[in-house]
Amino acid sequence: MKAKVGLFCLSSCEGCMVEILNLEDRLLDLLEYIDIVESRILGVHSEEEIDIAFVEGCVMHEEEEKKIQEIRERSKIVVALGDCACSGGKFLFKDFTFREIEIDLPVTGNKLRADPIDKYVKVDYYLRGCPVSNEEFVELVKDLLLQKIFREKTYSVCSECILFEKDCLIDKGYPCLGPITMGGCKAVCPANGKYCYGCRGLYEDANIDGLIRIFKEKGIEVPTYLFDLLKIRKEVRQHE
Amino acid sequence: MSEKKVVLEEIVRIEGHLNVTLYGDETEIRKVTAEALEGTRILERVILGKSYMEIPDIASRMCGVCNVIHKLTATQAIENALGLEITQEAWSLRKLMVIGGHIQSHMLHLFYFVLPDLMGKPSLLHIADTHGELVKKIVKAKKHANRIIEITGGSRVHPVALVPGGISKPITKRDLENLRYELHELKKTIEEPIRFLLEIGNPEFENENIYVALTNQDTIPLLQGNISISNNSVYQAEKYSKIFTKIRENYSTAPHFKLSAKNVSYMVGALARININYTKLLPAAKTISTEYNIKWPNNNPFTNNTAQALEILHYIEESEHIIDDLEEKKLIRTWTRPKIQAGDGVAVTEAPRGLLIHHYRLNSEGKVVWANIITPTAQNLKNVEETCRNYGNKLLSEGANIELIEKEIEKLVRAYDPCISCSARFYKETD
Repeated sequence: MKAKVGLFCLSSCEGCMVEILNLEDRLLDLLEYIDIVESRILGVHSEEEIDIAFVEGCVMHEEEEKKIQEIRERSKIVVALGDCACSGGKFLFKDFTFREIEIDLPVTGNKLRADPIDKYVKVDYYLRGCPVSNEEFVELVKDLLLQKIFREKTYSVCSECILFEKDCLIDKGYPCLGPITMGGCKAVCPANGKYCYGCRGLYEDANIDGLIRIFKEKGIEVPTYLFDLLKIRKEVRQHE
Repeated sequence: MSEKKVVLEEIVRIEGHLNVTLYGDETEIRKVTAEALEGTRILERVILGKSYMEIPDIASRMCGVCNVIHKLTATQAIENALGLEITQEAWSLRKLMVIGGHIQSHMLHLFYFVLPDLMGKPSLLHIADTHGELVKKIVKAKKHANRIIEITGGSRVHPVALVPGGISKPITKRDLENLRYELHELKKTIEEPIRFLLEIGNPEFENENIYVALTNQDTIPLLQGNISISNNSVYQAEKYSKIFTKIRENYSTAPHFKLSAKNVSYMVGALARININYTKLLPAAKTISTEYNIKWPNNNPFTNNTAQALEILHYIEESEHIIDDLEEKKLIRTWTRPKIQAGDGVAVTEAPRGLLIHHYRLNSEGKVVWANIITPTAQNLKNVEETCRNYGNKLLSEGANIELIEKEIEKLVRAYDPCISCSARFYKETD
């Protein structure tokens, strides 16, 4: 029996779906073991029960709140796919400043929100990053099929970046969040000369105060996205 | 006769959430509305007060399919605001990156979204059952297109190395060799799928329209140029706000647009690009266009698909020339350090789906104080409504029933290659 997989999109850029399609031939290989029974971007639709539901995007209006609850009811496992689903998407949505803005929107009304899906339903696994790493997607699917336990990475982006033997971006004066961000992305940003902005969230032993101290020592302006990360962690703690 | 309403809900195989509603009776469709339902981005508000360095990263999150061009346009607008000149090599590499993005996006649209329509199957996965080899070629070609973005930009989606000032990763001779290899393989694998598509052809439908795209002297421009309106009038890109009028419809989270001068809708995208620039198509695309007897300029909106297919061949050939030039350079300098200053910057580019405008104003600290973004799909929505009405009425007059009309209109919407996530961007202060 092949596992039945659903790919769902809430409000998002659908970059994570694109990244999954970017598996190309490996996706065709995966299809020997899974059946994609629901995906708007692929044009498949059914009312079947689902074994693994991957949900991309955050909840921005009532329709989506209903949709995520329906998904939970018909799925055995729910996976939050990408930063929007995991934390509300710190880039566009979970920007805490905009919640105070008065807005007047068609369809969504004047109440603006951008909530991670675990505010409404239980989430079994998180695939972090913006976009997700499709390697990690394959890893999770394999682990689930083999009934192994999938664990989140317990090391930072820094420890992956070191393997590329590139100059440290903090030494060069960039506000890189590599030391506190959860690894697993193969340090794709810092290894290509771009500072890390923490799209994968904090890893468990993140020493934020230490990083802020280093930024100050080196005269680097503490970036606003670091405070976003901190607020997310605070919200998570309150949630628990 | 009673007034009826038919809703095509959540059209599948497009990027984002779109409903299309038809109003009318058995004899005539009177009105069509295109309702974008994607949660709004309010991006222009979110970036206020943020540093210029962060803007391209945020802008590219508007859309996962056309992320490359969004990131590039934002970067260019920022550079224009800072008065920053990037190196010639960085410019060429960025062009390659954008070409990779365009091919990738066109392929997603043509083969993942449109091809199942043409073959009467629900999805590409279902085509694999009968046309295994073809599907393998399609995914292989798309992989090579993605590799072009990855080599020049560091990653496939939201390329990380694209930063204000150039490209943050070094590009070596080895990278150029790899690029050449990917292009070679891409060219080899893509031909059969494209011929397969052109062989099937398009439905017959003539629809007078106005086309808007960038134009310049010698190429089909992607990164800069003047705005041409059906080759009748040409405007400087910086004067965009005089050309278009924004319309707010209360059924859609995306704004709609019309031409200010004539108060009519217009079409942007691959068809508009080729209708305006068809004399500049490179030999590979031109040959196949003549072979299949496609006439330019073309007024059939379904030809947008054909135009995208030809563009893929055109871009591959153009990329080869770019790499030839790069290989002659002794040193590939990719980055210039930005100097922070206040300024106002506009960048107008051609996204896969058409004309894209980013406009930012920076203060003396390099923080954004004002922003405006106009996406291709938002510009097309009014045109989609009108063309759907015309096409629906044509089918009605030929005696089609409502099921067929629904199906055909869905195909027509898909031909426009709408990308709703990009277009959904209302908030009060920008209205």
